[in-house]
Amino acid sequence: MRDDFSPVRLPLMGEGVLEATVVRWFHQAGDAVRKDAPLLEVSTDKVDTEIPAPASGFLNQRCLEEGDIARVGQVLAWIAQEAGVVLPSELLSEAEGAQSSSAPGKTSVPAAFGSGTVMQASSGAPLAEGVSSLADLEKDYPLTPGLYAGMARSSPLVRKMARSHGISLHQVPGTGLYGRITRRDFEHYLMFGRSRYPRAAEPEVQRHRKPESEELSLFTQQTLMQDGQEFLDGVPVRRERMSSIRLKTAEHMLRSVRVSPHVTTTFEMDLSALARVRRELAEDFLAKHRSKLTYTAFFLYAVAQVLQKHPQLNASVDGEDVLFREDINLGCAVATESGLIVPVIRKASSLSLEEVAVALNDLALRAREKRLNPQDVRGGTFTLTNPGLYGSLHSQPIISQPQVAILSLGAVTDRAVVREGEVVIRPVCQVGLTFDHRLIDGEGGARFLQDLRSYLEDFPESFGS
Amino acid sequence: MESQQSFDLLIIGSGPAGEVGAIRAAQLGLKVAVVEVREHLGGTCLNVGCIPTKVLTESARMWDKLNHAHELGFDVGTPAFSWEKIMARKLSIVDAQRKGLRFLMKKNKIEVIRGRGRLTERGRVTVTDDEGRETAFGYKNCLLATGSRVRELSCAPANGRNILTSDTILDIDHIPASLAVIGGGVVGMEFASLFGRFGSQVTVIESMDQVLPAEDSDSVRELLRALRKQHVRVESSSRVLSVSDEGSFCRVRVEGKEDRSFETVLVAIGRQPVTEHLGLRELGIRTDKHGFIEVDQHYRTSAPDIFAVGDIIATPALAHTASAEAKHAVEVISGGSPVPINYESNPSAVYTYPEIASIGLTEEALKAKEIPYKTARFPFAPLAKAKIENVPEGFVKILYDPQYHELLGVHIVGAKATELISEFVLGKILETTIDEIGLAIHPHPTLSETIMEAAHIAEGGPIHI
Repeated sequence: MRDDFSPVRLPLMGEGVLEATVVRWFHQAGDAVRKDAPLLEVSTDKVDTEIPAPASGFLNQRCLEEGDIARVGQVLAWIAQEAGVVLPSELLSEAEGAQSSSAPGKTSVPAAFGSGTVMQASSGAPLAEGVSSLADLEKDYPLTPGLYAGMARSSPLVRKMARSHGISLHQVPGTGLYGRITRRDFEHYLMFGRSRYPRAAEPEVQRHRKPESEELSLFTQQTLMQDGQEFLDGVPVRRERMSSIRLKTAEHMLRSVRVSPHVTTTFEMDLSALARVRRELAEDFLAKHRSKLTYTAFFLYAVAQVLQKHPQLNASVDGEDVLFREDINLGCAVATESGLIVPVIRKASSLSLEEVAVALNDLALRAREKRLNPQDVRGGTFTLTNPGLYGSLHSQPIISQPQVAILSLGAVTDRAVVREGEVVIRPVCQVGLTFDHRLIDGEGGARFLQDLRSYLEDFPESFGS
Repeated sequence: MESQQSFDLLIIGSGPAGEVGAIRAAQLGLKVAVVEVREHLGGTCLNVGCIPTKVLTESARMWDKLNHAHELGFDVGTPAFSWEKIMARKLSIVDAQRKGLRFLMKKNKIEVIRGRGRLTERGRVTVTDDEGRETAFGYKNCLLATGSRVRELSCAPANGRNILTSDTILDIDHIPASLAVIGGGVVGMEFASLFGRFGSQVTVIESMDQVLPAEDSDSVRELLRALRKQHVRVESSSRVLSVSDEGSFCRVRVEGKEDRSFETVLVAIGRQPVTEHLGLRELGIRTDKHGFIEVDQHYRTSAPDIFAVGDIIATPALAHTASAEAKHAVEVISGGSPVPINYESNPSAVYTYPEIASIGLTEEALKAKEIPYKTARFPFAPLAKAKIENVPEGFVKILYDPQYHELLGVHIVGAKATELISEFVLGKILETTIDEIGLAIHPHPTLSETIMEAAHIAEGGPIHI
């Protein structure tokens, strides 16, 4: 009987990825599904991805709904070999058992899980077996809602008081160290609710549920709710939850500017030679690969070559140590409908220009179609972003942690420049390097750009070699 | 007075408040000066308070141990001590600490100005040195930390010979055969226990109905039981009418009693704030009716650029409290927003034998405020470690809230009470309940197990009784 049902589990999606949010189901319960056809879409802090059906049959039971968070190994659904059969209760309870260790409903497992005990326990010995050993871990360290209810910092006393009053601490503003909710805060909240706003007609202080991210929870707004309309500083507002990718991006950016002292230095580069080479190669490339050979591809190729002479830009800071990264994996920022994604061209220094261009086009296409695999976005060691595509001349991007530098390309425009005393028209581009001043000084940043400029401006020779 | 030196922060007084405030402010990047009227830095605490008295207390403890050495299997003959050498050790420890403090001032580039500081106008302090020369210094912010002095008793005029204060008794050249201690506060009781153990016949005369009125009456009763073995008698509810120097002895008249003779009298009726030379009135700084400077929760006086901490404000007159207040004030001054001090988690420590340490409310206070409570109390005597160390006296008493098990008050009497209380200081700050104290595994064998045993009472019963 059991054999007639196959569980759909959240697969191991890469090191450090322990949970994912269910974004959307492609099938209703009862639908026929085909093995390897997409069943649902999930979102992790790194990537959105589809999970295929592990077997053909009928979607018997969906264990999680859209917005729920699943942990690696958790049963997401059951597929039955026949339509209309009832899932045996022992299987149902297995699924629920996995679920009950997370809180039910939309605000289920707090995000802290990903960086908590379990992750540390697994980081020493990667979960090669994946599912089973993680399940063991969970058995030993069950995540009870009571224990982790406090995404809001609070005290044992406050948690007991909250439990007995049936109040979620997410609603309670904290004034203690780092926003900790103290007994006084809780008592104040009780008083507030009872006496200060006794009638519904009066404006009500609206506190949206506390962000799950500790970083983001530091910056909340106090809005007023009146007659069903929410106001911020007297201006009516419409509230919308950020998408999963938006949230992760927000958190990452905030963290990065705190961690890295950012410095940007900008060079102007003459792309005459590059433009000539591109014109020569573009037609063949289009014919062969049915896609355009972009300036971005040239830059990625050149960066991969030049970076080899500047290992400190292809590094990470670990406390008081520097970790020089032995592969050059180039991240390339891609804007998609659901937000910013940075797929990675691995071992870019070993690829030819053509290979780089093909890899770039493939990744960009798959990013827009949400077909990236988790490994496509992992392991970047240096990033390139090209806001020049939208006409930007110069920008100061934020470093993608734990990298230490990011290159930004301005728009390539024809400009009047002076060469040997004459005003001439040249395709010119401003190229900025934003680097982490902990590790790289202005001189190091400038030298990299010098080398990159020489490489690009003498491109035919460099390319030929 | 022409070229005036100016500081970001000018601190008057270098006791536990001034010293800590100065170093913290220097760490935070302020240009700091400390004005000290005494020859040595360190204030009352280091020169005539905490430190020298605790050296003598430790000597009394050793003397006690020596006299009981035979119980532990030692034959030490007839033990003897040299009061002169004990006093020399006291001086050498105080001197070492003074040197340490001078080093810390230098290391943190803190300017030390010798003389009496006085606020003469907004933004200016005038310092008068021993020769009467005046120098003016400018400041952006000023921290008043001038501390307190011994309160005098008009009917018992101290003479430095046989009618002494807590300052002058520290220079006494022998152990008096008989000692009357007027005032059963912390200072009086510590000296009573100290001299009693060295062989003085001690009588403590206290006007209120309990010595150590701030401590829980259970703690005081336990202490009095032990003091009887230390030749200390306590007369409470007794009013001293006069003390007179009769040459070879002092005559002490107590209301309703026959005149008595003592070799030495210690007047220890408390301390009073030192503020009269500061020029407070001229700058419009308000004081209360007891002479304490009025401050807000960040220790700001009614003049916004002048702060006051320690014994000159109406908070507990304790060295550690003063240090914490000073740290808070300078963090505010340097632009921070530290969490205000919660005086409910301010511990007190009495260095008698046994010691008394406490935090939070006494049982009497809970009754008076009609706060419901439960009691969990466990003695040291059954514990192996108490037997090993031969310190069976005392107990841990935890008063907790019946509903949420919040720690309302903790009272420890015992050999290491002042060390053991720190667990509850952290507990109170974190709003720990008695349940977490019971969950905490305490090392075996230690005296701290008494804390765990007491906490187990809240969950049904202790293990080892």
